[in-house]
Amino acid sequence: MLEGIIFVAVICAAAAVEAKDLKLSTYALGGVGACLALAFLTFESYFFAAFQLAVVSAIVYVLLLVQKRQKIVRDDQPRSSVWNYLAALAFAGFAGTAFFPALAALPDPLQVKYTETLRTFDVVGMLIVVCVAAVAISSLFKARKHKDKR
Amino acid sequence: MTLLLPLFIVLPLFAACLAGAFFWLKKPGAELLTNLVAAALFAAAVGLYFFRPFNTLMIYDLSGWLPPGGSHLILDGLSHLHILVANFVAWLVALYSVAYMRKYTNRTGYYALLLLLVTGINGVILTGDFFTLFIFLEIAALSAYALVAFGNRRAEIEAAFKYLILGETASLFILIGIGLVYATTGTYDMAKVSQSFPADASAVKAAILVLFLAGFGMKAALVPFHAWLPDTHASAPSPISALLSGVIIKTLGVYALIRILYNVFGMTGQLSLVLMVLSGVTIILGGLLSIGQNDIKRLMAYSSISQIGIIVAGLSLGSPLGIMGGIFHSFNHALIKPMMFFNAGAIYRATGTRDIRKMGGLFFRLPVVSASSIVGSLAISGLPPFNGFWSKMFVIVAAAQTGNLFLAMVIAIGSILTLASYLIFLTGAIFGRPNGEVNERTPWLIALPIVILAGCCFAVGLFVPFISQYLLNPAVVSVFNGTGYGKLMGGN
Amino acid sequence: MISYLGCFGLFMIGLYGVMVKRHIYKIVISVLIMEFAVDSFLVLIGNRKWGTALIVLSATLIAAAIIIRVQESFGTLDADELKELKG
Repeated sequence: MLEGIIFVAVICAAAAVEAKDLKLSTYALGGVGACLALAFLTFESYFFAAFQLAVVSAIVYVLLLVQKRQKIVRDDQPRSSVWNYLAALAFAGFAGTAFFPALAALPDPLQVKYTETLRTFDVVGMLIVVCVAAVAISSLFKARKHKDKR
Repeated sequence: MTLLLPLFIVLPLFAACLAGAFFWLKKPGAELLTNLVAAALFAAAVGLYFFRPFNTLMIYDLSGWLPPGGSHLILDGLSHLHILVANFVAWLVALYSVAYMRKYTNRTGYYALLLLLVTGINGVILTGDFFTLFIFLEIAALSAYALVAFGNRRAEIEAAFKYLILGETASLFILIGIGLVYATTGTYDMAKVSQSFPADASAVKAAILVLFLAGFGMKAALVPFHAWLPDTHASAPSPISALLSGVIIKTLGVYALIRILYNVFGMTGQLSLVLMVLSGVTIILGGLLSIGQNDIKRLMAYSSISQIGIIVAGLSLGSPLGIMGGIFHSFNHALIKPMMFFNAGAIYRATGTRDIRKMGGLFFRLPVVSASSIVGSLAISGLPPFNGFWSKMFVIVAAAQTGNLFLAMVIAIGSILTLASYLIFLTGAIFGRPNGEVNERTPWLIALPIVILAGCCFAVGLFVPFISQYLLNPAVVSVFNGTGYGKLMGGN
Repeated sequence: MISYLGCFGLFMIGLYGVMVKRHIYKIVISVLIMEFAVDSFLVLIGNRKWGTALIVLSATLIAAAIIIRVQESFGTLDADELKELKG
């Protein structure tokens, strides 16, 4: 079950990165987020599954809004240079050799029984992060004009 | 007096909310509020030295008022030094902003973001818990992205975009590392992790260390991960450059890295070697790149990279003198570099350019700025009797003592490169034939923080024994305590 | 084990997007994929409450604002065309 969900998420992610149509790409990203909500559901955290879904919809909504406002439709940029692909490949190889032993040593997700979860303090912290974003956006739009140009 | 610890987080946060309220009501007053809060935090950081018995921990248990779970705020020698420096620089930045930011619109938003940034920095320094560390890291990083973009011209936007992408990638590396820690030990508490990390999980430990090294290395701008630093430092408003260079790369990067490497996982020979190589490359590359720059802020930014290399070099040595040199250099850099960025801002205000080729002969036209630029340049290049000389000497001597003569040589070469790049700045901009126009004299509100910092550079250079006994030694003790950090917490 | 590998793959797809794609919108989407990958990793290892969804949302908001500002000031969304800062 869990493997299936992650597999769908990987397919969605590949589609999101490679799609030429950016609307499709955004919806695919929403699909990745929805898979995450399903993963929460697998572990019977119903409230957090709903919460995750709500946040993902908000993210997709914001991105679509940006697309509509800025008339961003397609990704028609030419391919980047071969070196970028090689760097990505080298990085993947390095990460793979570093992490496969570590991943093998981790416990089976279905057997994990740690009970400690996020503390109220951290949740408050995350709410602060959202406030930061709100102030940041206002500054990005409202601080645009200088009293003098330099 | 442990009640003062949450104050460092709650007070700027509360003030940021107030500033947000001012913002919606379109009322002024955020300027005064920020200055008062920053001054109060600095006073509290100084005051805590009188309430914390020497070489002891101060722990504030958050589970009392925010159940459930046991998150702690911890003040030991290392975090105390960092909280002192961070709030001192933040206060001067707030003071400097009053005059400097007059040219910008939406100043209330600026001050709200600045206060949130201070909240994040203080949280990162004080927390004793991985997940809380990540959250405060994000608070600081997200407000830093917005502050870098604050001028909203092309250069600022480009720098903010690069910073956003690289910074988020770094944060994610750190978060995976934290996840691996949690998967192996079942707790986020640093003290508990240091006590209960299983000895047989070496594959996981290696992966965690690689992730933390990459993540915090990116935040600290060690060389393979330094690409964002020159752009952001050069593009941000000068007070923010000062805060980025003086505080953020050190707390978000070096401080967190050292805390985790020394106190949670324990330093090993291999790790020390990796850090040494990285720092050596960082010193040389940062120094070489700073020589070719014509933009004064970019020159200072590259020199920051080089200095970060020296700090990490000192800390990687693992000997008490090396650690002390590293921490001392971080302390000195936090005094010198904000001053240099304040000077760059004042020069930019007066001449309207940051290009060395378009300025010259500022010495008699901007006397305060020029004098402090000379002080700062000599101090950061490690010339006596300024503070930078002592810390660089400590690191070099420690490197020689531990048998790393090559590293000692690299640091000496790095110092020469730094001196060369600052001499280009001095001969081009401060001395030489008068060139370009100077439109205004330095306002006293801009001169004041610069003079304070220049005075600090002198004073620290003169009172090294005092500084090392009361500020540096406790920090060295807490770093050198290694994983005994967890035992000091009473095993909880 | 297979689900961990899936998470790793998800992260790698995101990282590939960040390194290889030139469209700024795509780069932001790739960063978000990386964030979701890490978040699902946290769910797998037992952090089954809250997650970091709110942080992902905040990063999205700021990134969205920056996308808009990039297009307004540079007139393009090609990351290779951002050449204001060099050296």
